[in-house]
Amino acid sequence: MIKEILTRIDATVSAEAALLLFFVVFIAVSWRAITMSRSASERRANMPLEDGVRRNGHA
Amino acid sequence: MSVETDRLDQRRDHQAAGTKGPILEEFSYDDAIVRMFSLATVVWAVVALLVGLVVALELVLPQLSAGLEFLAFGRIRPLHTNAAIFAFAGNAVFAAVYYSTQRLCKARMFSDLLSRLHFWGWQAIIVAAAATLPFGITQSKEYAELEWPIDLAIAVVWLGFFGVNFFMTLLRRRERHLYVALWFYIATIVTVTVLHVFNNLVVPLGLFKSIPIYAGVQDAFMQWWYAHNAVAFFLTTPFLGLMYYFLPKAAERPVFSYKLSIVHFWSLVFLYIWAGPHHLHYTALPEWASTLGMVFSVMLWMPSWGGMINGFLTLRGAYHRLTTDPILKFFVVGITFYGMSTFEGPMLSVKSVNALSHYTDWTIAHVHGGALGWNGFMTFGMLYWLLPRIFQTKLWSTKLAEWHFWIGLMGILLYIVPIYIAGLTQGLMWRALDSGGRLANPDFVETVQRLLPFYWLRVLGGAAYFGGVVMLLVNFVATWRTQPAKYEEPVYAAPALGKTYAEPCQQTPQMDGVAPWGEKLAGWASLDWHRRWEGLPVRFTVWVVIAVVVASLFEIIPTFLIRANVPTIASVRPYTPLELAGRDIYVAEGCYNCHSQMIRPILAETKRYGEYSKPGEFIYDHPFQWGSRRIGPDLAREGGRQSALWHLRHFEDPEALTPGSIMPEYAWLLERELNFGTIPDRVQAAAFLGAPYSDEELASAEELAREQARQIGEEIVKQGGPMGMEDKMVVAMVAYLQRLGTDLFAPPPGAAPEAPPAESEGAPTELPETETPVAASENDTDTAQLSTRSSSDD
Ligand code: HEC
Repeated sequence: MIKEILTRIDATVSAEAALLLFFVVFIAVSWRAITMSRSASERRANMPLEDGVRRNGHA
Repeated sequence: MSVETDRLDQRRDHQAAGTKGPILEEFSYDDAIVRMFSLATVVWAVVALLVGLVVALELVLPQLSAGLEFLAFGRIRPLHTNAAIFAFAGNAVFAAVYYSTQRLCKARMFSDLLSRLHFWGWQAIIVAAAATLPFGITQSKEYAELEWPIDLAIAVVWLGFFGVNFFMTLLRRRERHLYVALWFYIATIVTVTVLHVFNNLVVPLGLFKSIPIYAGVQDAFMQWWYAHNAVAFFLTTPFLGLMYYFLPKAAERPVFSYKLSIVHFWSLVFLYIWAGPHHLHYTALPEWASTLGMVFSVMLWMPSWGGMINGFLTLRGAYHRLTTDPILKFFVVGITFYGMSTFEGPMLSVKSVNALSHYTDWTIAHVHGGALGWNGFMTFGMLYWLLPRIFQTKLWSTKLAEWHFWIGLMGILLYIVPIYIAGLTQGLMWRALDSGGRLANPDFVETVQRLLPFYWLRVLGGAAYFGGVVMLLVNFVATWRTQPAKYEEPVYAAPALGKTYAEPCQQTPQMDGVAPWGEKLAGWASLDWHRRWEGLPVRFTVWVVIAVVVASLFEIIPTFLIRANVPTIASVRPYTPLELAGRDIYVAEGCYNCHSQMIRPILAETKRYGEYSKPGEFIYDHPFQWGSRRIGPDLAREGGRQSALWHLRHFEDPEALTPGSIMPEYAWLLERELNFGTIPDRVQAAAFLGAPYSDEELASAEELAREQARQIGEEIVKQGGPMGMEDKMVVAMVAYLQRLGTDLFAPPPGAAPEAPPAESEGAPTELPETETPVAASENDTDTAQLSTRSSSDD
């Protein structure tokens, strides 16, 4: 039974679904990136340049 | 959770950071582990490149291996690739991760012990690789050659030591947000684990041998799903993490666009997974899968170039320092090669381009642009930036670093330009037809000879690049020696994180007169849920896992359904016991490093090699041996093409039989005894994985093998060859080679013989019209007798 169903499914559907899935994800991610506030993105971008406040020694 | 409680927490967070001053926690970073991984990176770079030089030389001077089996090309080419990927690039990634993660998290690594276990465990794995691969202990899957006990060790070290240490550090961090570099590291750790586990599912046969549970098409599919994504998640994502951290550091300015980096990350993670089938165009893989691979590969170009542009623009305003700063030079060239490779990759995955490029040296040029240019130069840039910091001194010589840059760059160009030309030459010569529609270069070895000048230039290029790395080693050691008597251990301070949190500047839309569900929808659409889980490593990781696993399943499930879809061919029968033993030698020798076993449905190819390969022909192939390049000719239809004696003489001295051949000699196959004792277990394992042997065959596997060996031994003598070959390894190898590709034309069990469905015109000898033998146990005719071009020439 299961085997019959499985063989009947056209595998190309998988390819089309994959494409659709990607576009949904892509739009969601792009939307999120675009709607991110400027200050938030700047703060994150600066993270590698702020390695913490040292307590001893020279900076 | 409601917005209200979020706001309350937020206020509490702010109070904590308010007038009374935050409660600071003190901590220091573990830089000793970064020093260790950095040193390992340089040492293994020297080793990997040295082995690379040897294999490059062997292709121009095949006698270099001096008949020593552990020096033969097929055995040590995997050593080169594994050392370059897992030892050199791997240690570089770990150095980058350990340095940047601590700083981005404002926390020391979770456990110094786990860090050390990770370091020593990984080095032990590399040593184990070097101690097994040259001795023919291999799974024969490219970049996954290591045998199962080492694979288990990799899983423990990677996930148990490295993964746990990394994720626990994330959980204990003092910085709310996960910087984009950390995302790339998370994707790396998660995905490599998944890839490694699924591509290495095997049935062990003793400590040093195993058989994959997959066969033929499925095995090929899993392998290239793995290998492609290993490039993506071992050589791309962690290096992008490295770029997003160290490039701003070196340029002293933030990344150009953080937003772009978000899109870069998700698109890359999502797209890469699907692209694997582009390694299997025109093979027995189903059409839809290979088209899917192509489409997604082409789409990959966008995010990749997004990342490249982001990298370049980060350097805007720092370009004036380019003339004086070797670090920035390395980074600029590294990113340029990232851009070139990620443009070329999608191009190579287009089927019509791939028809020309696949199996040629073009692919080799492509990967070396990526490995030497992108991975190598990003690593060198990082190391030169790190050295003064981790050793708390000045770089010993900026001038030498500058020299390293120029000689390294020259080395890359001197390597890839000739190899691009070689690849194109090969591809064009293989497919060229004369006006009569015959192959213009019917002798494979003609095409080999044409490449040798380019192969020599490659040796030169490789040597230059190697010279550069030696300069790095010198600079490394000299800098190390000027370290302070005692390392200063700076103490840092940062407040601990509150338990909950919301983006301070976050605005949830206020709406009047809108139905409550509308408000909820708007809240959801503002995507602050996304911002929240971005701050939470656990949920973030879960999303990455979902992206990777869902994408993989979309491909893998249908491919496994093709077990039902692979048209079975009645005449395709399991290998005989002796052939299985021969096949194991073929695997151990790494013949797949030079020979493919996959004839594509392309005119020039079927003319040269015979009828194209069908999926149903590989159902007993554990592991598959399709290969990925043709330094030598395809062997998918080798059976019956030459005589037994021809093969024997060819193994003894390929050059003598085929002047101009660059195949290494395998004279010891004629001397070494075949171990018949292990054959029954081997046949049992094949039966366990589905090969339909009869109970008699299983019970008398050893006798069957001896009988077939005796026949081949006799035949060799009849053809004028030496006596006493029947218990040598060479008979097993000959048995296997003579079986290759013949089943398709064999009569189905119990049917009358029929004519083969197609013929190959360009082949040196034609396949027999009638009665190609099946298994020797069933049919007494001997394959070898059917060959014509043979011992007469020696
Ligand atoms: C360095 C690459 C290299 C390796 C490794 C290698 N070969 Fe070859 N092989 C070649 C080249 C090149 C030719 C073509 C010239 C010739 O006939 O020798 C060739 C030819 C052959 C042929 C002759 C095909 C024909 O009918 O014309 C056979 C059979 C063969 N190889 C088998 C093997 C086997 C089995 C192994 C592993 C034990 C192996 N080769 C390893 C490069 C290689």
